[in-house]
Amino acid sequence: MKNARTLTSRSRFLSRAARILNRLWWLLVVVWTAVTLTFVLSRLIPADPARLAAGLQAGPEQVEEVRRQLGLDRPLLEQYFNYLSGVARFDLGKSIQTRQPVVDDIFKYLPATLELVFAAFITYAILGIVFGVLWARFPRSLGSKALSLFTVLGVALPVFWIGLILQVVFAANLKWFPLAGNLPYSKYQVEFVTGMGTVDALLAGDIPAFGFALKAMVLPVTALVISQFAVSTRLTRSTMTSELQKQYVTAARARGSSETRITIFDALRNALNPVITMLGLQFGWLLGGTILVEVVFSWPGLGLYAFNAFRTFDYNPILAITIVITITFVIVNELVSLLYPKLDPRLRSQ
Amino acid sequence: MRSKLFKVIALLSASIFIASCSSGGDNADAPITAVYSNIAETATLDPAIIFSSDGFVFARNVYEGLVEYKPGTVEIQPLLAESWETSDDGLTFTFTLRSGVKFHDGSDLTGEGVVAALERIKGVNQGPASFMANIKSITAPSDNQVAITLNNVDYTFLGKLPKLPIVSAAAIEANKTDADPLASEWFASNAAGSGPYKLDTWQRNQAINLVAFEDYWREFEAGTPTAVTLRVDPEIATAMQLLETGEIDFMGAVGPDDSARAQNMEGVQVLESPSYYGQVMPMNVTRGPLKDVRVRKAIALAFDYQAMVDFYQGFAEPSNGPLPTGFSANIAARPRYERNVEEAKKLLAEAGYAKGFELEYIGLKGLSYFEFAGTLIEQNLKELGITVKQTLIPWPEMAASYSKRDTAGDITFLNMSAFTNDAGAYLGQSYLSTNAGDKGGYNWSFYEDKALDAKINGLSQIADEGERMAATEALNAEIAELYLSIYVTQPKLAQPVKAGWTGYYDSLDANYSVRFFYTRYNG
Repeated sequence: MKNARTLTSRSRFLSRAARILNRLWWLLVVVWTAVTLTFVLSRLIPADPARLAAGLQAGPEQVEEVRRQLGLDRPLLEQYFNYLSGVARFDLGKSIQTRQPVVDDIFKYLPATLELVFAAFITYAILGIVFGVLWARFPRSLGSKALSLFTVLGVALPVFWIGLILQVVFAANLKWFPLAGNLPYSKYQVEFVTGMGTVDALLAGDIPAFGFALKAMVLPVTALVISQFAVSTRLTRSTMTSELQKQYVTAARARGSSETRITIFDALRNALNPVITMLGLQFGWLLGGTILVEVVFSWPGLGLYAFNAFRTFDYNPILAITIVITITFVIVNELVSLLYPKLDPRLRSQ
Repeated sequence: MRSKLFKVIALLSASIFIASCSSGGDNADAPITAVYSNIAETATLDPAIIFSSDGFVFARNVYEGLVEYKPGTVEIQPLLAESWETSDDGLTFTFTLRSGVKFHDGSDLTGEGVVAALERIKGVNQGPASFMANIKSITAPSDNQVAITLNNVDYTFLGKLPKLPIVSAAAIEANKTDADPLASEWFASNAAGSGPYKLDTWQRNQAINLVAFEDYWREFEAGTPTAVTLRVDPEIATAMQLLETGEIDFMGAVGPDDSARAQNMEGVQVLESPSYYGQVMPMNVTRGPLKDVRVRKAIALAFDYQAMVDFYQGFAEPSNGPLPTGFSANIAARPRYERNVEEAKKLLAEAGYAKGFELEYIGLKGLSYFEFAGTLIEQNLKELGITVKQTLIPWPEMAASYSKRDTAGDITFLNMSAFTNDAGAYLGQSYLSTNAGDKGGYNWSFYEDKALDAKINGLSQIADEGERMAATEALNAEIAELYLSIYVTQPKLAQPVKAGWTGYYDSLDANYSVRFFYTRYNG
């Protein structure tokens, strides 16, 4: 009996290990595909980064010198394999423009973006689900009609335009929030530790700086929330509406359960799986989607770094940002897939 | 649980309230900080590499050259060198250094130090090194002297020296390694100059903060900023709003169309500085009908110069030739270009192209005036039967297109800036064979003529300033007759600045650089 239990737990362990290895293998394949595609595409575009890095007045010899220094004079296949072997050693090369190791740059800029992304993600996930449920529950109310209009606008308006409007109304005219930028570290004498203004201000124990950092986040986060809110709200409404029409809901009503209990504990739980899948995909999108918001709000994160890299055809940061977004995308979606069985007992046995 | 949530909300609200109270108004007695916003941040702080407006604004405030341009003019005045002498053969310049000058790292200015700093620029061999191509040797005859010997006589050489920033030799020595003998890695993100401002902090992608250098060799007069913040706002609309709300004082990279918009903003003035730049549309002379000067002239005559000037709402004037008018009164007196479609049609018929042909215009995507110029020429040339296909691409692609003759377009658009007070060098950028697009320069009409090269190169060897200018004016007229470009407009250098500031933008530093030591705030 004991041996049988040991065998069962060992086979479970082996099965889990195989599943993790399988997932890791897929992660590697996805990252390799993304890197290869980006590498090939970046080299196909008719631009000369060495010419740009050498500067306006550089002569042909100076351009060639820069090309040699950057390794861009090597055959394409050699550049590709050099890059891949670098990636395997967590060396993502140096930025052509800043001449700094790209890994250092990524660690410097990513936290500021994550600060925005987490705040926006949590806000629109909660708001999207709450309003989606209310919309499904009271489909003919005035609030639902207003929500319908608001979500259409949110999807239709470009995020940078939403950002500019928020700046004009709430920063330039009402002066409620800073117009652009995040925590001015030198003004508040706060040490740059994590790159997240709010966290660094808290670490320094500086409450006014923390308040400023929070205020600086409000408008960019709002712009991101408005642009993403529609998807989660409409999806929650649609899945909730479908759930609320199922027989188990009718049965629960017949048993005398309250509408609130049916909505929250029965229908919502079953309606959440597709919503969470969509939220996972949106999180990955947000990392890349913050570029325009960071440009409009001069937010010193990965988006702004990416914008400058694209503007100057700085190959290595473009490849590195692709890797970061791909890995985040895959990891978040893996985490989401782990949540499914928690929400839907039918999936636990599969 | 509920009380914890309440506490968190209360803390957040209190923080925001405290922050609101603490971000107070201006204090009249407070030190003056000049906040300058640009659309991009310099990629490096190394003055031996910096060669664009993003970097000039840093380099010109932190570093100094042996001489400098007097603000708002193209006159040379002493800076780190107190005086200089030229040898009889015109080949050697001997500079006497100012005494009592200290670098930000505490070291002193010496002759040997200047030699090391100049040799470093040559060794790095990027942007600023292009001004050192004619230098044969640099020596220090004494502790407070530097001698620079040239290969060939160049009477415009002094004008190149403001472009060669002197770094602390002690900093090179302290930060060099075997693998990096010029301390390039250190200078990329640190600074050791002798300028009025020293580097305080650099929050990448956000702001470079400079503070007044306490041991600077000149006094800071009343109204001079004692701190400078160089911030990045990639979106011009955001920067304009920041200016209107008074959060920034100066802007960089503002085109004439945005200046026109800014002139009506409250609390904002448009600061005009002498302009040494022009907008041109080079015509590729290497293929098709554009090989014929009559066709090129016809195109230039068909262009609606006034429409372009109107687009800029008073912030540009019609051009009158290859050189900007600021270089001399005679150049300024040349007649401005005007549209004459009938004459253009006649010329085209004479050249055998009465039925027209097709051309490609390659312009920069995202800049309104590039797109406007493309649409304008498309409409204008339609009247001659010429069909223009517009292609708008990002700058890296545009530069790459013009690095090969077969991928270059037929007509394009360029902002041409003077980098020194040498009008000959300005002409050389666009018309020397050695500066053809496929050789890395901005001769994007790809015109090559050895005789013209000799005339342009010969200008710097004319010792007498008056004679040199007369020869330059004659050459300007000669090049104008070749119709290698449409000379579109001469924009005014007019930048939106917060009311209360006086000073100049430096046209010779790609237009958007400001030396804050020469600005004053009395708002």
